[in-house]
This record gives sequence, C-alpha cells and structure tokens, in this order.
Amino acid sequence: MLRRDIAPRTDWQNTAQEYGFSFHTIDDKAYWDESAYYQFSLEQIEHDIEDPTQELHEMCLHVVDKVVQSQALLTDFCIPEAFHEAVSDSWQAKAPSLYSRLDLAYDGSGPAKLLENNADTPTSLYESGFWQWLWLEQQVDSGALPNASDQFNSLQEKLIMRFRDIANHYQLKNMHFSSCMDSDEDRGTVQYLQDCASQAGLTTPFVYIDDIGVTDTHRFMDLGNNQIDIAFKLYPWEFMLKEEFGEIAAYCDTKWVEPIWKSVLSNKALLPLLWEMFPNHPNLLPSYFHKDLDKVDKAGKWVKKPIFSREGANIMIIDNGDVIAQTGGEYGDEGVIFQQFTALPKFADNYTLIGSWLVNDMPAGISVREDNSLITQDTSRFVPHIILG
Amino acid sequence: MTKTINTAKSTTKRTANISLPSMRKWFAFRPLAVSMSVVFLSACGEEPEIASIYTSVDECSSSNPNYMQECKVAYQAAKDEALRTGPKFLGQADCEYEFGQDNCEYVARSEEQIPGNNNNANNQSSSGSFFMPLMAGYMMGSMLGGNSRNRPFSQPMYTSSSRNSALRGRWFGATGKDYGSQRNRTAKVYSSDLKPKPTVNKTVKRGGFGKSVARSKASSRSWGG
Repeated sequence: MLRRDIAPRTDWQNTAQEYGFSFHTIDDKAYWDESAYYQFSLEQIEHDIEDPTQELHEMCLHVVDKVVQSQALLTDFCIPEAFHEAVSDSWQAKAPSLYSRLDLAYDGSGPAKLLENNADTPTSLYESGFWQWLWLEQQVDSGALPNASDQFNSLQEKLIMRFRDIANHYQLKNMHFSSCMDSDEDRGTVQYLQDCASQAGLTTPFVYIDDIGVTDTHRFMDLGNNQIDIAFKLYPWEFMLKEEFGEIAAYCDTKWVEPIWKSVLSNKALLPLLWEMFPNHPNLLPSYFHKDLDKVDKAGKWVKKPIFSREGANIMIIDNGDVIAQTGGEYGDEGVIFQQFTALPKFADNYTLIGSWLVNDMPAGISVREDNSLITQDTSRFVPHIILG
Repeated sequence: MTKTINTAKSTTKRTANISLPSMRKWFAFRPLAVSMSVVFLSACGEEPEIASIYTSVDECSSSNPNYMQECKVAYQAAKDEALRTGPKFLGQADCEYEFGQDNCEYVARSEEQIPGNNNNANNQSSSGSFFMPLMAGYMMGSMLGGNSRNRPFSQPMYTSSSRNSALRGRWFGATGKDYGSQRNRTAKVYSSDLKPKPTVNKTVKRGGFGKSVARSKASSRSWGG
C-alpha cells in the first residue's frame, strides 16, 4: 500500500461538470483530490480487505439475528419499543438490502480493523463507484498509469444487478428515490442510485423526504400525489423512528430500501456485541457498552462513540483518562459505546481510512479517504486508488 | 498455445464496462415537475351521455324549472361526494399551488371521522383538518347511478386557476378526470365515470420526515455516513 503523487487530469473539472459531479469542492475546499492515489497489491486487496469484509459482514448479520430476537438487546440498540416488531418482522421476512460500507483501519499489512459499519445511509458512493473508475480509465488511456492497473471497484455493475433483484423480489418496477433538501451531496448520491436503477430497467421518480405526504389511509405519496410503493431513502431509520411518520413508515405497505432491520446493522451498539460474540477476532477491536465500563482498561486508549453518530461527530479519544481529541456535534443523548483506539495509518501528512463496500452481501470495492485529523470527518478528502502488482 | 488458468477471484476487480453517455448530465438536478395527475379512462366504444355542469342550484333550477328538487338533491350529493373523495391538503399553500389563489377552503373534521386513522400520537394539529379546493360546480345527468331509485347522477366539478396545474381552465372531477374547457357547460360522460369512487387517498399531510436534520452549518455536506 503506497501513496503516490500523480498529475491531475488537466480538464477534470470540466469532466466533472459533464457528468454532474457537483460536489468535488465543498465550501472552497477540495473534497475530490486526484493529486495522489493509493496503490495496493492484489494480495492486499483480496487477502486483507475483500475476504475480511465478507467475514465481518457475515459476523454482523449473526449479531443482527441475535438482536432482533431480544427485546432487551433492541433496547440496548436504542430502538424504541414501538418498532421492535417491525424490525424483527423485516429481518424474518428477509427484506432485501442494497448496500453497506465497512470503515477499516488498514496500513498495508496485518489485519484490517473494523471501526464501524455504515449500513443504512452510506455516502461517497458516486465518487467510489463511478468517478474514481472514470479517473482510472482516463489515466490509463493517457499513459499516466500502466495498462495493468486495476481497481477494487465493481460497485456500479453490482448495484445495477441488485436493483434488478430487488425489483423482481417485490414485483415492482417503479421505485421512488428520496433524500433531504439542501444537500447537493446527498442529492448527487441518490441521483447516482437512480441512474443505476434506471439501467436496471426501473423507473425512478424523485421526491425530497421532507415532501413525502401521507394519506388518511396511511399510504405515502410523492409531491404529485402518486403512491410510493417502494422507496430508496438516503435518510437514516434512527431519524425516521423518532419523527411523526415513523410508525406509519415501519408498519405501512410501502417497501423501504434500506429495510428497517438495517437500523440494527448500522448501529454502533453492534461493535460491543460483535466483540462479545467473536472475542479476539483479528479484524475486531475490543468494544464495550457504557454499562460495562468496568471492563474498560482505564490506563489504555479508547474511543467513545455515540450509538447514532455520523460523519465523525461527537467522537472522543481518551488516553489514560485524559481526553486527547474530540469533535462536536448533536449526537450522544441516546448512549455511547467504548472502542479500543487504533491509530489510522499516516501517509505523508494524512490519516487514511479505507471504506470497504458491500452490495447486498458481496464485497464490491473500496474508497480511500484522508483527513488531517485523527478522527475522519466530513472534511476528509476522497483519493482514488489502483491495484498494481 | 498455453491455456490460461484463472486463479484470481475474477479477471479484473472493477466494473467491466460503464455506458458513459448514460452517465452524462448536462443539467442540474431538479425535483419532479409538480402537477396533479390526469386520469384517462378508456371508454371502450360505449355511447356517452351528455351531462350538464352547473355552478349553483339556482343556475340548475333556472335551466330546469321542473326539476328544482332534483337540482338541490344533486347539489347536496355532489357536496358530500366532494368531502369524501375530493382532493385534500394539509396546507393552504399546497392546495392553492394546485387549484389557484382563493380557490381552497379550510375543513375542520373530528378525528373519528377519518377512516383508518388510529394514530393518536402528537398530531392533534392535523387531526382531521385540511384544505380542500372549492367545488366550482357540479355535474348532473339523467343516468341512473347504478340504482333504481331514478335519482339523477351527480358529481363535484373542480376548476383550477393555478399556472402550476395541467388542468387550468378545465372542468375536472375528484379523480382529476378532465371534462373539457371551463367555457363549456356540457360534457360527455361514460358509465365508467359513474362507478362509485373509493374514499380517495389524497395526501392529507406532509413534512412528517426530515425534521431531524440539524443544519447548524450552512453547507451542502451530507449528514450521511
């Protein structure tokens, strides 16, 4: 695993505009950074990332299977009681899921460590599935990268196949897509998923989540008052559960992608339970619920994470009892977990994080993100990667 | 010739082919155009009846002096039908977006009257109250409404003055079926138009999702993960 400098494509901003990649620069800071790339060996990708991703995902599903059968565990996961049945039902019914991203700490050798599982609303999908793919094609075509360069990235073809499967499963051809207002980035991610679904033969109307309406007979409608039979929502279940339409959403006829059981898979409470069920697994870090604080070695270095945190908000790093780094945010009221600290590897001046994608249950590629700080936040940059050697 | 033995999991680790033309975007993202859906019913060659559209009981009575009672009954039936099957909106603005300014009325209804409403949580504000377009007229015809009581058929008629509506300046029914220009006072009706309509699932409330996103920073960043 190497970080190499490379000249950016001369006209990449125009290409971005041509393909509708509108959020490569955010608040005047580069988000997409192609002045460098990461190079992995095929062995590193397959042995150290792809196989563990598959195994970790299967372990996570074992945890979900255990949690949905226990009121006490669902409560530990901060899932309100009114939704326990809906979560359990959707898991038992094997309601199909679309995608996930496991965040891994990996430096090129030794076991990758699972930091968390973004299984409900993972973003940076367009950049991963399409845009870095296009970068590689063009850099190979121009001779800047060797012909033998490959990339761990079958996201787009797997997403298209998966949309076809989901449409067949429900016998529905019209899938609504939804995200919230005011985020170009989320709208871009959802537009990408619409493109993939459309290539799978679906029709893909869009409605902002804020605009979704409900009828007196508990059907969801889009802004044109067309019924929503199935919807992809880039909006987390943990928000939906506490909002006014939450209960209707959980029990109505509308099918959701992701399904409601993903509220268990994407939950940080997964981490202590993984450690409990698969202790000392090489790809896991010791993790504990707050109530098991006595098991946390106070002299060690720990990360405190809210159960529902996103984009690195409200994270605290504690070393021997002292807070050495922390981020602000609005999460944490619902409870926290403790995970043993592992340093992200440093390449040049950057802390580097691997996002390892799954579509349905299959590893489907990686994204590499860099941050100047120990805690990867939404200020981090996306850097492309290649496989060579 | 050497035979290639493929021991890797796949020959390449990336998407084999992406259709670039289908990924091009020349325009910015836009929400869907908003319009009330227009229902086209197939009439399968049957003979239509010509029905009349009146804007008031008086107008009906003066055109049909011998049927004053029928005019009243038909009007009331259309009013009741409008309440049951007509478009409903939570907000005045949503209603006026479709039907035009000053074309909507507030209707207060108690909770029990709403079929299927067993949700008693924190929505007193909405309970059963909503905005409906004003009934701009009613259609009356001699066709029997599927019963033998010899009552004239009637149904509520709406118009829209909104530039957002595809039905601006048209007469249309509660399902959005277009009965022609507002200048006309007669319309062709097929028996399929007269089938009893279900209590229509019109959207009564929006904005029940999306409140959790605290946007402390003015930015377009994802709150995703």
